Amino acid sequence: MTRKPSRRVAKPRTTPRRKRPTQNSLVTFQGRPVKTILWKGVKCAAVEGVVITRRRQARPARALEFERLASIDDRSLRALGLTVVSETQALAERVMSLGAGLLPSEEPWFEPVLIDRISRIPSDPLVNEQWGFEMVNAGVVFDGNVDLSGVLLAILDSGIPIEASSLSHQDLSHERFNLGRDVVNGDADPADDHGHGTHVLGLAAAIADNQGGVAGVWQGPVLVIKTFDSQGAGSSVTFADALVAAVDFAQAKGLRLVVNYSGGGADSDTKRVAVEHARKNGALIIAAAGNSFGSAIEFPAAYSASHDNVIAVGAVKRDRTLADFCNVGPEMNVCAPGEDIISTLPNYFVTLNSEGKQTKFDRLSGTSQAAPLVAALAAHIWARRPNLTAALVRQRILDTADPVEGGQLGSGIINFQRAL
Amino acid sequence: MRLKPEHAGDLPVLLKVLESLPLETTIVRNLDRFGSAVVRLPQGADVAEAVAEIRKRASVASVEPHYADYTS
Repeated sequence: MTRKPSRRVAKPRTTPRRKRPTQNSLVTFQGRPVKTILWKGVKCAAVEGVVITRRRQARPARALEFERLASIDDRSLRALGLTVVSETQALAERVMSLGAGLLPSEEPWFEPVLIDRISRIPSDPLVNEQWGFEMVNAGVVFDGNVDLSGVLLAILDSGIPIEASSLSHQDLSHERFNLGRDVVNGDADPADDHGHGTHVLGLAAAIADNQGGVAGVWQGPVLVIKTFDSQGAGSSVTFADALVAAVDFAQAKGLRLVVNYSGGGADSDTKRVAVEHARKNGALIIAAAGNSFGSAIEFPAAYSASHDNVIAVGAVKRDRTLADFCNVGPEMNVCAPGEDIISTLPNYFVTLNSEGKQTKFDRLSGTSQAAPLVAALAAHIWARRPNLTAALVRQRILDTADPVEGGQLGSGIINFQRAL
Repeated sequence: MRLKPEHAGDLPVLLKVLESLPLETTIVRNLDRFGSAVVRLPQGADVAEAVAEIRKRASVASVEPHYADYTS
């Protein structure tokens, strides 16, 4: 008996055709559009029109009439009982809008194809000197794919470089910098005549990838209110005025509000009333612990013990130990790098230049330099989880900090990667 | 000083409080939405005595110095 020669049947191609990398990899993945969705309460990027499914034994696959997606290789997923399917737009949109990760029990398990990204360090020339980035894993914020427009970071400090009525520093000249009032001199010009505010502002929000020097960790909206004068002095009243103005601005724009206050002083009824006003209006305040070499933590930072919308921030050195200048106390919540920190300074002569600092860029140490990283982290958490309250954003920062032995660093050193 | 919430924004009440202070006392920052105002006592005035006078007023919630803050 002769065997019939078997007919060779051309098998359908199972391996995906390699797609050319697209020019803008942020909006497509393997040739398919990427969109921002709210998944399990978190804003994230997902491939549009595609879901992953795990089919139940009892339910024949054909009943669902899925079609395997030709452009995504899911062989390894299938070993786990999972399949990437190109489902009808209606189902994909339904999965993406559910946000809970579950469909009704009679249906199989689905989830979107979520996009992961590598951490990236910006290309600005002085970024390699921003040693704190590595310690707090800040590279994750530079993926550029998260919508930051719903959160406002207000910097209450000595102002922003302004010359001839225009923003004058290359790293701080952008339409996302909103100019508030100068509450310490009582006018509408928040030009920095001290330098401290420009340094803090650069740490939080300097423009990244502009070849301009340093990179800030927050590339979203900023509000600048001048709260300290040319000698670096403010008061309980200027703090309260600035905080109220920031709350008003954020409310008028419909934005979540994170406030950075890299200063402090005595306990005050005026400050308490303002902090309570901010709490009632959903704002989170990040405040520096102070630099009096082990003295008690200053106010408003010390309100962290009584207000769940305040985070007290201390400073650590490169060896992850508390900086010698840092104040201490049970009110301390978290720490961040704060010694020998490079950032922006005004491109014109200010008070700090008379103390030996250079124009444009130089290094400062202090809890003031630690607080902006925490403020930026809070803003990033809120941008990704817009439904959280200020208290829950604070809790997330504390819960995801890297614990450090010694007991004076609160919950430890902030960690962007874990928090985001 | 901060007036009690029921008097917040009530300038006549604030002026009534100032009647007990030295004549040259001035308002340097008017009442805000929380009922807080900043007043400047004349040179040489006894601050402790002025604070004690203000505290006697039933319309006043709190009184404190204008505390300075500094960059850190």
